Amino acid sequence: MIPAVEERCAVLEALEYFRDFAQKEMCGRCLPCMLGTDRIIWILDKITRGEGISQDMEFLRLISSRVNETARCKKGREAAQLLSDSLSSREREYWEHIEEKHCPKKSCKDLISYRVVAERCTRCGSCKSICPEEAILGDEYIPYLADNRPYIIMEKKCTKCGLCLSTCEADAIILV
Amino acid sequence: MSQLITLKIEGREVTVPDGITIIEAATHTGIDIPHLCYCKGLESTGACRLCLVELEGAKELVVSCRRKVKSGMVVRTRTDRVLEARRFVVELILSNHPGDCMSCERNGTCELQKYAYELGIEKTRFTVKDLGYPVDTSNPLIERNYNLCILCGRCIRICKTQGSDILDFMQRGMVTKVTTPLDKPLQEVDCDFCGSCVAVCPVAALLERSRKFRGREWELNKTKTACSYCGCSCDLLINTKKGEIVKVTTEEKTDYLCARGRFGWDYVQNGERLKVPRIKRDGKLVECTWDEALDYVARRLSKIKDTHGPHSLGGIVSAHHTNEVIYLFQRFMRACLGTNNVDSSVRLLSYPAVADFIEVFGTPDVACSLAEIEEADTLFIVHSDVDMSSPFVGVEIKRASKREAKLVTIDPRSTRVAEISHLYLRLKPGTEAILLNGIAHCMLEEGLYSREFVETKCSNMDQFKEFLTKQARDVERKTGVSKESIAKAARFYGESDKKVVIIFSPEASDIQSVHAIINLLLLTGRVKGGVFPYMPLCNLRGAADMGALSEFYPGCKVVDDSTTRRKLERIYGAALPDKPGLSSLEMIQSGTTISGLYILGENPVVSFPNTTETVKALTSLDFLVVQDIFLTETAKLADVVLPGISFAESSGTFTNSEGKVKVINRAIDPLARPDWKIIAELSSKMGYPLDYDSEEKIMDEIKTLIPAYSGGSWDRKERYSFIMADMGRSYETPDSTHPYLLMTGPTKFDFYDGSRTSRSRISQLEPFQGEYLGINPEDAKSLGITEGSKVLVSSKRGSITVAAKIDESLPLGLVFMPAHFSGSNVLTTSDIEPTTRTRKIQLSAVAISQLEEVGEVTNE
Ligand code: SF4
Ligand code: SF4
Ligand code: SF4
Ligand code: SF4
Ligand code: SF4
Ligand code: SF4
Ligand code: FES
Repeated sequence: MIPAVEERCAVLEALEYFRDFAQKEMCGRCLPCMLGTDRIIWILDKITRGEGISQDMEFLRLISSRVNETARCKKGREAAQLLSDSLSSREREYWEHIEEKHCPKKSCKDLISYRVVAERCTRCGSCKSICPEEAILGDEYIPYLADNRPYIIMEKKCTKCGLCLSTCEADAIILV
Repeated sequence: MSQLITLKIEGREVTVPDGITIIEAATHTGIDIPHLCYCKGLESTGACRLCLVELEGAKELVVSCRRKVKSGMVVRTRTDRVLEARRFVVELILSNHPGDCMSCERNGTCELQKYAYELGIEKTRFTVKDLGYPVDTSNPLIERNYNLCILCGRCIRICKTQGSDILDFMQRGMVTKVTTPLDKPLQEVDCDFCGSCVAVCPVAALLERSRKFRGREWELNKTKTACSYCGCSCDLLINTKKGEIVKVTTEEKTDYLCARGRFGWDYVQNGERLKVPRIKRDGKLVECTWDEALDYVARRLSKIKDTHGPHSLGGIVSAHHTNEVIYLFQRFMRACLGTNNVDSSVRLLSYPAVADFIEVFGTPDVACSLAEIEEADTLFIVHSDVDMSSPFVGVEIKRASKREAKLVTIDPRSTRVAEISHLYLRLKPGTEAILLNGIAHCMLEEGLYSREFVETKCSNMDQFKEFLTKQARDVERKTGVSKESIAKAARFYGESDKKVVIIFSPEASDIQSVHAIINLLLLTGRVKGGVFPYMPLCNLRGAADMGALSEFYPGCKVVDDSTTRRKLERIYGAALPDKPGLSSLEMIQSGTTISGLYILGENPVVSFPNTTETVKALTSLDFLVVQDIFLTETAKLADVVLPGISFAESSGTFTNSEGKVKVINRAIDPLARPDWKIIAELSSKMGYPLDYDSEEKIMDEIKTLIPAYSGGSWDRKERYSFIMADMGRSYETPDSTHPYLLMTGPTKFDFYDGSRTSRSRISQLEPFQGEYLGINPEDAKSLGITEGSKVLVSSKRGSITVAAKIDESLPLGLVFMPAHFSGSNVLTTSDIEPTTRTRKIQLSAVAISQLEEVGEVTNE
């Protein structure tokens, strides 16, 4: 069941739910449920990656309501119903993913980025040394030296592992 | 049996039998409810959900292929809600279907395409995913492209009931896929290549490879005819485009055809087909005109007749020809040439059964129908190679077993049928008659027979009892089957209120076991519908009926019967000989009295026992004319070769194992001259004109002679006698020099003399090109043989070299060779049994030695 707690990202939650459903419960003995689940997972996954298009909302609604009508067993119908519910009660969140490529709960890796807030940064350098991808550029603060560069995170190289964020004692790394 | 009920479908009142489903009821009334997973003739699974309908009073849509009708039901099949649901299902399927109808073979007959069209779906709204499965083209017959599969599961279900049960769904990522064990190609998982899966597939996921880019469905001409391989003579449709055969299909999707029937037709238009006659000049067969050839044959035959008398001439016809051709051949031999030396494949393949049936029942028409096999309570299967010899009979057995029929199998080999049997009596090779007599004896002792029938209808019970008591001595030791098993079998067979059918192979049965089978029928009074001899060649029944046996006129009337002879003489306008002629085996043996021989379609060099003797006899003839469609091993020895036609070019009839007359229709133009025309012309040239203007005219004449062919029935005896004979062994006794027994027989993908199948792609599926020696693993081990080892097999007649094939179904001491392999008869003996004048010995003693070091496997 998708918990009602609004902490988690709705899209990600639905995706994980259906992945789990496909793994454990889906029997594969009726086409709408099997193909529908496959399609739902495919679309949700796209959305979490920021590749969603506005039509996807329509598709998800269509699939969930029709699977609910056509699937053979209660399990398949219930799963479809949950998606329908999530789509209507948390519609905005889905749209934010699709249209603004933004995950309001900051859970969808592909839709977030890590940034150094220069104002808070003490220029200690621990993020740079912990980053396994060498995605952070910048120099430690040395007094009187004029040309030392501030710390920045190169989006292209960053894999969003989150190590820098948890290392930074000054809370100078944020998610956007 | 079932009651009728009334319901409403689409506003129409319909009355249908209770117990059927809504979709079936709709079909009754001509309403087609879309369906993909459901297929008439198969169990429904309710998987695709396309057949959803609305039921008045029900909240949810119901699946019409599973929901049974109820009185008063109101069904709506085309409401918006229903259509919306269907559209969704089809769109979803299409979203996983990267097919392009443009050049798809199923375009026009594709069921997915049909429903997409009917539901007005131009294109699925969903993005189409490509599953990226590789297309399997690794076997010569069936192409499998699972990218197009819609997971309806029909192939899986039909493979269970009429294939080798090798398909199933397998989870593959999110969506399942149809696979074979370990996802291996079909040819590696014992696929029968029956093609049933191809026939039921609603889309182009499974296709006959032969049809690829050779014609679209609406361009194909379909000719209804029957299969010319085994005696089942299954109905089939030859699909042609512009005179080229493209594929073979069936009327109903679930109608059965085996690999030979569905895929074994391509020999018909093989480049090796003979089109022009040939005459031997300076030891070489050279092409000539029809007139030259026929004049020459007429001249030579007349000369021999004049100098040595008519009985120095002989004729042998193969039972894969139509009744019309066979009938005309015997008329030519008897009336034009004046000899009863006319015989056929019947002699070697089914004569003991034919002779016994006529003797005991007064008619050759004793077999039950194929449908009766499916309905039986108990089946007694003597010789269970039925899956190879007559695959459709095998399917009927399987269907019966699904219906909980009890199977009792008697065979030294643990075949597929043996494995699904309730009671499997694995007897020592060649002891069938002893075992069957043992069962009969046990029935007598336990009173498991019909006293009433025996007392009122059978004349020689006392003698029979005596005979059985003698025969039943030492049964256990002789057959290797325990007393308990024999008693069990006796009880199975003796259950009086059950429908029991004995299924046996007339080809593999020796004379005594046929006697024993008939005695069992008499003991229980099962004289009607109690036996099914499966004929290994399509028209064996017909050939016997037509008089292609040297002791029988048409209608199975003995030649010494003067009434029939006089009647025939009147119709034929010629004096007929009154003594039985020579059997085909007698005609071709050393010291034969035959000087001129006319062989039509038969290939004795391969199909007759003792090849060396056969070749010697054939080459010592003054004159040999062979009429065939290929330059067979036998035709190569001929003085004149006349090219005939195949079943696909013929019109006429076959009489199948059941005794049903099947109609053969011409599907393509003859590549050479129709066989009946050749015979008629030859006859005219010899001064005995045979004027028919069509095959039907010949059939008209047959009808006047055999009432059963014009809607009448066969005369049957009303009183019977048990049939007894003690002829000793039907196998060569193994000794220290020749310690193994060799059995020859049919295989899945090859047939009879191999002349047709070896020119078809199906033969590519035979292991070792169909040339091998099957041997039990332990025997192989003790000889140091592994799969593919080259071995030397020898008998008193000769020896040959073949590859060894380990076969677990064979018992110790019994080895097997495919009958179509031209080497197998080098080893067999042609000893003749004097009463039936056919082969006496079924199993020959052979020695086996290894030729190569272990490890040098030549299996390519
Ligand atoms: S860890 Fe934090 S404070 Fe230290 S350099 Fe990095 S961003 Fe600045
Ligand atoms: S999130 Fe991980 S990869 Fe990205 S900058 Fe921080 S430490 Fe480096
Ligand atoms: S299988 Fe049917 S739907 Fe698919 S491409 Fe072929 S014709 Fe079209
Ligand atoms: S060809 Fe026959 S045996 Fe082979 S997979 Fe298809 S149905 Fe099964
Ligand atoms: S291969 Fe054909 S018959 Fe088999 S499941 Fe797929 S679509 Fe159905
Ligand atoms: S079972 Fe016999 S008649 Fe039927 S298709 Fe196969 S070979 Fe032909
Ligand atoms: S046809 Fe009824 S569910 Fe597929």
